Amino acid sequence: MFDDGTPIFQQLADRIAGDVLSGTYAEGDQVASTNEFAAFYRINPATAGKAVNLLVDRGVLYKRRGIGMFVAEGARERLAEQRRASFAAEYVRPLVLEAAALGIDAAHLRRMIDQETTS
Amino acid sequence: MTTAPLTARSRPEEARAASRTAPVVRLHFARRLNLLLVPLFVIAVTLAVSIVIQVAIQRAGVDVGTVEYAAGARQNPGVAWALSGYLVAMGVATVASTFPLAAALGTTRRDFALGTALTHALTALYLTAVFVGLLGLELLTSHWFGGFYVFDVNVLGAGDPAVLAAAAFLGSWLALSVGGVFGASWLRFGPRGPLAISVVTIVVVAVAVLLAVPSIAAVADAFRPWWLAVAAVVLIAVSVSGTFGFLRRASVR
Amino acid sequence: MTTAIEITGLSRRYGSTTALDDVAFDVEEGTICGLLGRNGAGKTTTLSVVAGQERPSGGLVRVFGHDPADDSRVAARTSFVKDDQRWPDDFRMREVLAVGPAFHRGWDAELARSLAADLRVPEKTPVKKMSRGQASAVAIVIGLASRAPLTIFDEPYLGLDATARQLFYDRLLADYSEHPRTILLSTHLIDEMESLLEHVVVLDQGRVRLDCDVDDARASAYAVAGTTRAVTAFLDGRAVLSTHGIGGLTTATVEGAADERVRADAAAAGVELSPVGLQQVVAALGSASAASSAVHHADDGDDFAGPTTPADADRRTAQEGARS
Repeated sequence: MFDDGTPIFQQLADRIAGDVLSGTYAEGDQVASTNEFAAFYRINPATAGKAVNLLVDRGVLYKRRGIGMFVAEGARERLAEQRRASFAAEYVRPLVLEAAALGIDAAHLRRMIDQETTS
Repeated sequence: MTTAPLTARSRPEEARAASRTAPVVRLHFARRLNLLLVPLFVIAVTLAVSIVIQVAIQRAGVDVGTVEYAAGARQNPGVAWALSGYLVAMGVATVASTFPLAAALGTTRRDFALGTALTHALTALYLTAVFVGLLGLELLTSHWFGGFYVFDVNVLGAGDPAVLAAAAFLGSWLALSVGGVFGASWLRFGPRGPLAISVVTIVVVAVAVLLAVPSIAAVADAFRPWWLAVAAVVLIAVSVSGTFGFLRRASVR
Repeated sequence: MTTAIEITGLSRRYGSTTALDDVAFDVEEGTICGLLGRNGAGKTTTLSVVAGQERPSGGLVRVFGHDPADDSRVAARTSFVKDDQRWPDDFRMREVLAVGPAFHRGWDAELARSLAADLRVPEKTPVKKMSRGQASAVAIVIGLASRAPLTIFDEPYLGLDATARQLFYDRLLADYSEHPRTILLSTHLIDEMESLLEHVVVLDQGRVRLDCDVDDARASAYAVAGTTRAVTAFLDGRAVLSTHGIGGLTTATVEGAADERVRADAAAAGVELSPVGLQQVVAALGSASAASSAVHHADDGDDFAGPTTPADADRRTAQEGARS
């Protein structure tokens, strides 16, 4: 479930963020507790806690004392914004580099993108 | 970064340190069957064997009613020795095979030595009660309905319940303690441990005998049975401290 | 955060053999710490010393602030069933359940009972006569049900089948979540148990090779692969933990963080970098060629840029996004 590349708490945070972004967790929904995440993913509660704290810092989740963790208002937009910021580095750059490695020129690449976006 | 503050928490712990011997006793008595029933079985078997032997003797034509017969029959020490042998073995087991588990569950060597000594004393108390009861039964039934002298024997006080009780208690506790210290020496030194104790004991006894020989007659005159009781108490104390001493540096195998 | 276990300069010698040599690490209270390393690395010896069952030849060990050797304040709060535990004759699961509460104040009888049932521990068989797996199950029942403030497990999974192991991990996590305590365990099954751990200490030949959080441990090394020529050139001047080559291809595990400069060097050398799991790090540390490498402790912050705070993690993700 988790790979070796990045710290587990990072991967868990990304996974939860992904669920928020995709609408699996709606804004205002309660998410599982740290202990529940830990038990479900079979990881140390401290690790799960780090993931949750990371998302709290990013404004994706917030804590209601005595009740649990909830998805913050505007979390989707905030996440989308964060991902938009790194979109170029994470997706576009590799795309361009790979195209270059395969000998696909910029014009051809643009045509391919147009094709994808219209279909 | 501070170490876990124990000042507030340690006082109740310290009070509880005294009761850390109780878990050890509980551990030994977890297998009550072994500890309490098997010695009974040994006694019962010895009783039966003693009676059978005495039946054979009587069949040979001895007159049961005479005082001489009673005096002779009272020489029989069977029950005392048979049980002692078993108790020594049990003493070894209480230390050698129980200490590793006690250590795993969380016991200090001091608590284990004390708890085991207490267990031995309690077991001895139990056996004393059994012996006194059986002596009473023997006397009530006119020596098992046939003049068979098993508990009413010289080595156990010739029918005196107080002497029997003292002998049974001290004897049992001593046998268990001796077994215990042998077990502890084995834990500390492996097979060489019991060997070392045996050698030391033989040397000490030999030296004592050699020193006593010139005055052996005077000693025999002055001899009082309660000297044995004192000797038993001393030996028990030596065994218990020996057990603790061996355990202190023993690795938990 | 308080420290449950403090070890400084610990050494343990048996005659002419040195089992532990200047071992030092701390274990925070309420964390799960893994003690990793090869057979004979000194894990069981370390655990025995921490549990107060063995005396050190030198050095200082403090558990809950006390010397654990023969201190009832430590003994009462510690549970340590060894992997080669010896049991009294005729001692069955029933006796374990009866005796446990006498030794541990926090003993949970219901948990013990349900664990014994789930792990299929036979009730009537003396522990002495049980199979390796069944005996391990008994040790697990004691370890978990005792709720001892310091619970030590020594390779608790020996002989357990995969289902039983998973059950153990799940129950361990569940009970630890609800009743946090300090758990110290030694293991070879690093892949399986890695996600349970918060902190790891790696021992090799009686010395500490790594002492840090799990994330830092994983980030403390990286793998490089490519043609033997390219890799050999790349490895020049780096702390190599292990190499593995067949014909013209070689992979190697290198100590250090795969930072920007390393990645640039790799790209230039035409070799491929990849992250390594904790298992690989530990295996590499335990191999002969790693013997001369230096020790890494958690506070050697400059040595590897493993993320320790969420802010660092953010930065790292951004960096990694830039990687081609």
